[in-house]
Amino acid sequence: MKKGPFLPKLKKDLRRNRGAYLMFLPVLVYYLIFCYKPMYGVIIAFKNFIPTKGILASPWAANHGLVHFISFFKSVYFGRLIRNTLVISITSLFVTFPLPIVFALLLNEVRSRHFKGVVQTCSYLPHFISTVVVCSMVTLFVNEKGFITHLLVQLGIAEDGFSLLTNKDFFVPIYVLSGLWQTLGWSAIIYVAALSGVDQELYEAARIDGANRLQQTIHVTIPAITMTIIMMFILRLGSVMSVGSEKILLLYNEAIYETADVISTYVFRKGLVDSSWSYSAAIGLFNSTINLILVVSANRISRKLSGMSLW
Amino acid sequence: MEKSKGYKIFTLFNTLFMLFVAAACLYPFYYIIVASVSDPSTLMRHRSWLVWPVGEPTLDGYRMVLNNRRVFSGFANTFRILGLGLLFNITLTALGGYVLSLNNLLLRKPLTLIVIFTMYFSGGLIPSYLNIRDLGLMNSLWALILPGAVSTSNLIIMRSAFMAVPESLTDAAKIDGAGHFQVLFRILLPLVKATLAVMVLYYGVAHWNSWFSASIYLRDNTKYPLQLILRNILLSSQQQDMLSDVPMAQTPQAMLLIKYSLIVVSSVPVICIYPFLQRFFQKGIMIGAVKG
Amino acid sequence: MNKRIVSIALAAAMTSALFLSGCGSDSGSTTATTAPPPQTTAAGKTESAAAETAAQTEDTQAAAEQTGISYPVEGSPAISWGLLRKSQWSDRYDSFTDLPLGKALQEQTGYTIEAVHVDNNQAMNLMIASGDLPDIISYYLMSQYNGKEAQAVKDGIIMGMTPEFLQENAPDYWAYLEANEDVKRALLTNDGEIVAFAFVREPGVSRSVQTLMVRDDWCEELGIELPETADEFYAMLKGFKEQLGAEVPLALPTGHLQSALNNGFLTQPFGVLSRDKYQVDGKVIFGYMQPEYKDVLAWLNKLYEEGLMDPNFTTMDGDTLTAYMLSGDSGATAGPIGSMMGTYLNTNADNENYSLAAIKPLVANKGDRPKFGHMQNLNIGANAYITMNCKDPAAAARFLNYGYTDEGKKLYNWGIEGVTYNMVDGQPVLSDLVTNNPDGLTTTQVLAEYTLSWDSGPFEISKDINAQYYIWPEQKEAYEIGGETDAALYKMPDTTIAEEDADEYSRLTSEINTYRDETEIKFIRGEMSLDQFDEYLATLDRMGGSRLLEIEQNALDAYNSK
Repeated sequence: MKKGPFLPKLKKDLRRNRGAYLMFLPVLVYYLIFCYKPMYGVIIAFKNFIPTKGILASPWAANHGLVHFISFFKSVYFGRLIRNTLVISITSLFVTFPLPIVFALLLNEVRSRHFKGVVQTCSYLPHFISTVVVCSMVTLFVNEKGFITHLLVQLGIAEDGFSLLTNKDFFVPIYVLSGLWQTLGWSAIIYVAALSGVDQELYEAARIDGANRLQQTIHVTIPAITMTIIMMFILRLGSVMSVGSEKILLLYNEAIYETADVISTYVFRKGLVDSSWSYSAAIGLFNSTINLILVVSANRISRKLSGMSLW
Repeated sequence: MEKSKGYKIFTLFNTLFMLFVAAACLYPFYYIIVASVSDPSTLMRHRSWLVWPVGEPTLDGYRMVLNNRRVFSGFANTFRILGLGLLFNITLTALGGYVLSLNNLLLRKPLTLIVIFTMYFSGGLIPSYLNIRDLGLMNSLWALILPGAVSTSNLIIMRSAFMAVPESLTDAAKIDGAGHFQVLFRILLPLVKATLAVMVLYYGVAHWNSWFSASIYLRDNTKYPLQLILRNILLSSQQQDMLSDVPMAQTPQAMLLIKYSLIVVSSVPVICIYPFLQRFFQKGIMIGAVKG
Repeated sequence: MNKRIVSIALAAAMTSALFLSGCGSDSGSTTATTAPPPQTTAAGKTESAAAETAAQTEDTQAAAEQTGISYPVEGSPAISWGLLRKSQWSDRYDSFTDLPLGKALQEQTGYTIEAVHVDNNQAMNLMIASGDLPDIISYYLMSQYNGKEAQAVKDGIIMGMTPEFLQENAPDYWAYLEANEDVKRALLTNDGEIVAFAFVREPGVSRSVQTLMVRDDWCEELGIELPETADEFYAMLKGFKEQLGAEVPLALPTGHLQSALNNGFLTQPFGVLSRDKYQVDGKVIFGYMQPEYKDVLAWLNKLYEEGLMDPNFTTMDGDTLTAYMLSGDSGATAGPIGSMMGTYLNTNADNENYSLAAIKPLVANKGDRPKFGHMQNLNIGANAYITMNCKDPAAAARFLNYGYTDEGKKLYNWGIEGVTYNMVDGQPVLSDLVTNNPDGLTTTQVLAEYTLSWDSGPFEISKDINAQYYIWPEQKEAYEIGGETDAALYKMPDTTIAEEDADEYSRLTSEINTYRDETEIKFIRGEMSLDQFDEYLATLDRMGGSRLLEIEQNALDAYNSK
């Protein structure tokens, strides 16, 4: 970019791209009103929130406002919560991130357009079922009489007569695989769409060069969707610390807290005891700070390595 | 075109795998349908596969669901939210995605950062709630539409779709004196139809599945969307209040039937809309394939 | 219309009532009977009814002076009321004010109610957090607000009511509190203010509504008596399993197991009154921290190992429990007399080979009287609070007072005479509309339209309605024997945690409870050997168990000196 004083340049740019800026105005207004305006509220984490006083006038919390953070860090469960959260979310990441890509690639190899459509339609269906229903079905299939339990008993992996959900070693696989089932087809949509945009001439050229299907996939198809993959990966990294509570709450029980209790469920249980807004805000802030650090680093690394970045 | 042996074997396994995925995804629906017409007392004791209705088949569940007037108002509200919501979603996402895809914009980077930052940082529940109240949106369907008008990750997907369009296509139009609006609506949008279809699907499903905002912002149950009604019914037997020590309002059997029938009834529209969306989506794929 | 003069007259009337009520705490309840009967007129006649009432008000000026308040009040004051929407009626009605109860309440009190509904607790918590509240809210601040009701008063969310305010504006409620000192104490802040128009019980209403229940027909078949001791109970389960083929003789999902232990149903044979906290001579004791608690766990472990308890009790949900109990897979469980026992008996009403009996909490020696049992707290249920947003607290109080007058009690408890109940020998009896509804509604659904007695609210629940809810003789018996314990001596009262301890208390409670629940299950499932019980006790202590005990003790001391 040309060097020069910024303001005159900006003025010129605003004039030249007036149309574009005007188009962005409603989007900007949306972000300002619905995202940025409430952001001052994070200070709730440093206060003892009292409803009638409002966010700004509530008194500051003890220990320079850090008392909620300190009591979270000092909690005997802190280590376990962080460990479980990371284990569940990273395992999910490794399973539910690459497999939809594989699925999209395989789908791309299906020649019959009709069959492809049917399979794809079926594959989204689980996404439409509400979590409550999904969890009740998962419970049904892994209970002491469920067919998945039967299968594992026959393989000698599980003990007969017990629900898999009473065994702490099975929780993460159950959580992750049911998650995969819920999202496989749905997450593949974006890649299928990206694949549809691949220039057919490239395949033609590869074929002329004597590439077989596999080579075509490696040299043409995958590079074509690399940008989408990297983008989706960076986006996904931003939620490593946030494992949603709804599904875990519906699946876990005291017998497997050791592997199933995560930050969000802990906050939920805290919330049952009392509506401690400031405490949960503090944990939320802690989570988003780590997520933000992860995303910014991933973005930077990606820009260095591949030249592609989100911003 | 000759095919190698390896490729044939691959195709066979691939087809089998696809069939497996389709079956695994379909079975739960099949299960729910079968359960909804099964005899509830038998079903309660049945704890494994369900291939065929157990006990004497019954349509009582459907009768009870269709007698519940909330179900109909729920449908109406959900469609209202979907219609208005999608209008806002698609318009704003297209506008935002387009502007952020422009290379020569001086403020592109700061604007992108402003947008992306919101994905990882938010004020939290209480400030958002206060915000909705201050805007006067309490107890209004707008409280379910406006706060989610733009999803940042969708905006980014849209932006990438625009970026993937070769510049040569838009340059010609610009030389002919077309403004941003014309470039976007005349040239770009028709080219990214597949992505637009994805956007409709993503936003549409997000509206379809959402219940939390409705549960905190709405006061009148005549305004409740279907999912909130569904959820309240599904969880009502679990919210057994230790204090209100009276027999359950419905027998456990009736509850079970209502649950399954309601899931089926609430899925019907989705299944009806599917083929339509799917076709549109396929068309998008075809256009994508022809392009270039 | 000269409103001002009317209100001055009213105030004068009330002041005199105040003097009168000062003489005897009885005045509220005795004089309330002389108030004019409520006008349950049809909608078309409202105007003439209003005129009539106005005339009556003048005529009965003397009576008004005594009661303080005569309903319906004049001027149809408006009041907004925040409530949770209940699934028991929400599929048929849009709002509380559309319910027959809401309509009757408006007619009888003369108030115009604007119902502000929220969907669930979270929505109510947010409404409270936003500070945007209606005049009155009905809610469970004693469990949903950090620091309970006293803190909500301090934070300026709800109004603390002085005795003078209540004497003046809610004489009938005040009379109840005066007559029931323990309830009053449970609702009193340390500054001497009453926090709520509470859900209160008529003297004689039992607070024991949960019980152990077993299939007595099975016991008969086995030729054994209903069990009283842990050994007998064990033998019974064994018989159920081995002779009658019950797959899971004792069905207790974690939640029910925990409350059965908290209620002392299974702990007393081993010398622990309850798993939870209780008091002995003013000293707080946590059952789960006692060395004797090891024997409780050892016994449960034995049941578990021998397959008498469901191996999957930690994942058992309500539907499975119901299915087990209805189908004969299980023969013993524990829980509420109404919602569990009632549901089972209703559902299997046509099955002649099905019978349930409540048994007393298990004891060490046959014939012992149980020391502990289920006992609800005094302050429980949806109380009504006047919020700080209320422009006219006196008017709100006069409205809420209605639930403690004789007419108001009738409405909240029984509904509308001639519709949901009839007077038989001077006693209200539920009508066919309720017990055998022509449209196929269940009793609970009908009562949810006409009353609040199926749930809770700002009124005094009658002991007779409670009895009528238990339609099965088995339930009536369960209710009887539920009261035959000394729980009143040992139950912890509704204490308030000191403000400076509140945060520490909530942190300690949540951490220690999590550890306790988890470890307990490991002991029962045999994942941890009972040899490690001392380690468990040591860990509890390290986590701050003794500090928790100290906080509870301070709270109890403060309560006793209130």
